[in-house]
Amino acid sequence: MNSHPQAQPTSGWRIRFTSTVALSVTFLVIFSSAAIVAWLSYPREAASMPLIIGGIGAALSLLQLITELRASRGDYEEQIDLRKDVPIYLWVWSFVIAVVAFGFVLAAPVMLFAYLRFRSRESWWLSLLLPVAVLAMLYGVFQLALGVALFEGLATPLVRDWLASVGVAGG
Amino acid sequence: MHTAGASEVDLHVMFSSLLGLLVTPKLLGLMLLAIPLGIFFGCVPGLGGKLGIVLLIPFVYGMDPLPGAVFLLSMHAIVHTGGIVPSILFGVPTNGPEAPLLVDGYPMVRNGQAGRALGAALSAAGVGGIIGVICLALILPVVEPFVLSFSPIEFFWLAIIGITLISALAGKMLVQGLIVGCFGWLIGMIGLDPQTGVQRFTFNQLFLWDGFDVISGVLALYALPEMMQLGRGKRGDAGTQAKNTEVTQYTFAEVWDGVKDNFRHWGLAITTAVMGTFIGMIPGLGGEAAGWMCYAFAVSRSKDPERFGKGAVEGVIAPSTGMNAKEGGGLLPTLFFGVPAGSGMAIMLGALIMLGIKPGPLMIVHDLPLVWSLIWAIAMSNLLCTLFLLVVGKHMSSIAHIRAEVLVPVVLVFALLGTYLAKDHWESLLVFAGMGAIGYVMRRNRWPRPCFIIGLVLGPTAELSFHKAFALHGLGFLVQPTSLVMMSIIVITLILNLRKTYRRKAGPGDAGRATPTSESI
Repeated sequence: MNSHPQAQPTSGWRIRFTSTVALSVTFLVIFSSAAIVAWLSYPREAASMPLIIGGIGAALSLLQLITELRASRGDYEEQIDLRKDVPIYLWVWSFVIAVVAFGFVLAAPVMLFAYLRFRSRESWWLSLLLPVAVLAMLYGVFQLALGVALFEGLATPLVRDWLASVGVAGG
Repeated sequence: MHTAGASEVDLHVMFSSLLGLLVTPKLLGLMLLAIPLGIFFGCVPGLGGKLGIVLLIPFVYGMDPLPGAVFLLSMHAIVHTGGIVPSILFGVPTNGPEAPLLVDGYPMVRNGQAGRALGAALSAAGVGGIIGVICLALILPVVEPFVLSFSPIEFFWLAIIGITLISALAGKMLVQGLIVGCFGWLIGMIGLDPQTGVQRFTFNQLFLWDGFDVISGVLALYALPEMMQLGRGKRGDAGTQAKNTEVTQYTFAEVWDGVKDNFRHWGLAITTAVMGTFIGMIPGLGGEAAGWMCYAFAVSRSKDPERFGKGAVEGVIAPSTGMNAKEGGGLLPTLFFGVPAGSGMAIMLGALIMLGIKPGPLMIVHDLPLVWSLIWAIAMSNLLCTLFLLVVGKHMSSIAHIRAEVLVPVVLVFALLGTYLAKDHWESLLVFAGMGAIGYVMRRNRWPRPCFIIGLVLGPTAELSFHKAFALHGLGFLVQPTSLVMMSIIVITLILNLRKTYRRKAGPGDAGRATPTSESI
């Protein structure tokens, strides 16, 4: 992987760590680990299918890895552009972490506002309107109308207890 | 006497299901709600029916099986109809299966026949959708005894046939497709082993005990990579069609002229609809194959084939009918064999299971009213959607201009919600983000992600059926006549697909070669 997605020059026929090589290695590790875990930890009946599929998957991943390594020495056009892809992936993780910490009703509108205002550079009007609509959907439709208990986050109860203990809010 | 009695019961079930759908306000309301949603998912580039199902999962969470299934299936059945409008008017297919429409649809628009092209395509889609379910309804009594005679041996081989179709789905990237399919199967093994009850790959995590559900997998490998793809550029980078309001300046008379084209070419419309239905029944072929095969049929039967590609109305009618008819056909293997006809139906299968429906041969015995309700729902949503779009289609085309920058975070919120509700465990959110990275690298390098769903859905079915067949017959079941026939089908399918792949060896990215990355995504 590199930060420039253009075709790379073929100077020296050097093997490069491309995104497809990384993908093949990832699958090789996953399949090999699964086969080893199955072989060491499970009874024969339960281990048979993971061994077969893990074995076939590992063999195919190894084949693909060799093919991709050979291809990486020639003209290879990298599809992953770290400058573009890492920021959007960090936004995904920030959404996930915020929801895990503070739950859907609190985190989703806040993160939505942050994304629209600071990543998409939308107007204040749209950046506020959409989160309010999503909040209405999550709280009004899901929690109240449909009675779905949405995840309230791992930190929310702790914050609520702390606020109650300092007398800011009711317990 | 018995046959007559059974037919009466079937007719009673058939029509009482229709009546139930029409007179139950909740069902009718959900179906009417599903139509604009289906149009929305069809119109917006990068969304489509598969994402539509998974993003609507939170809304059907906790619903009874019938309303939930009617809602999802009605939405899914009309996604292609929704996609017709921007595809023809702006010349850009919003999702893959609409591509054949462009060959003649867009030239018609450029020739000043936008209204006629749209009228022909939309009414053909409606005709296709309705003929598709009529074919399914006619086939049902024929397949009933066949389905009920299936034993674990047949189910094992059917699942293996479905998995073999990875070779068709993967196309030129056979090795990559097999890797992704094995990955899906491996992920499907997470949870308690059905035979011994031993925990497999759960790492003592409670949230993995009851397995990894299809919805979470699809959201991680489909929804997240698509949204990352749309959101990766800076403002204005993401591809939305340039607004061209001139193409929407057509009259209703022109649209009606297009509708009448279906009657002028009624033989073509009916034939391609029947073709589409049968293509839909074959696991692995999917919507794109239906559209292109029907288009090729229209060209081959034409006395004037050189008109095609320059704005021939038959080139719009044929793919439209085929594309929508395949939805009815796809329901047959999905509902009665638990073998999804394509990646869209694989996701639908996961959604139906989540709703508490158990697809399999017993559905034909115990859940026939439900089956008929679903069939009627497809027919009615097709009819209503076609009528709706014929009238207001040009106004709906503006949906295609929704900017990705606004769409991405909203879809992300609902994808997270769907992931959480599918299992009720917050840890699923972390898996979603982690697996999403693998899905994104796969998406950028065009590794065939539908193979993951096939592996995830059919792998556990194959394993369970194998153990059942083994318990009943020992390894001797492998040499029974049924097994030999099924094995022959598998070998023939594999040989045909491999031959097709190696014939293209001169092109970039054949099986056993590196991932092709030179083409734009």
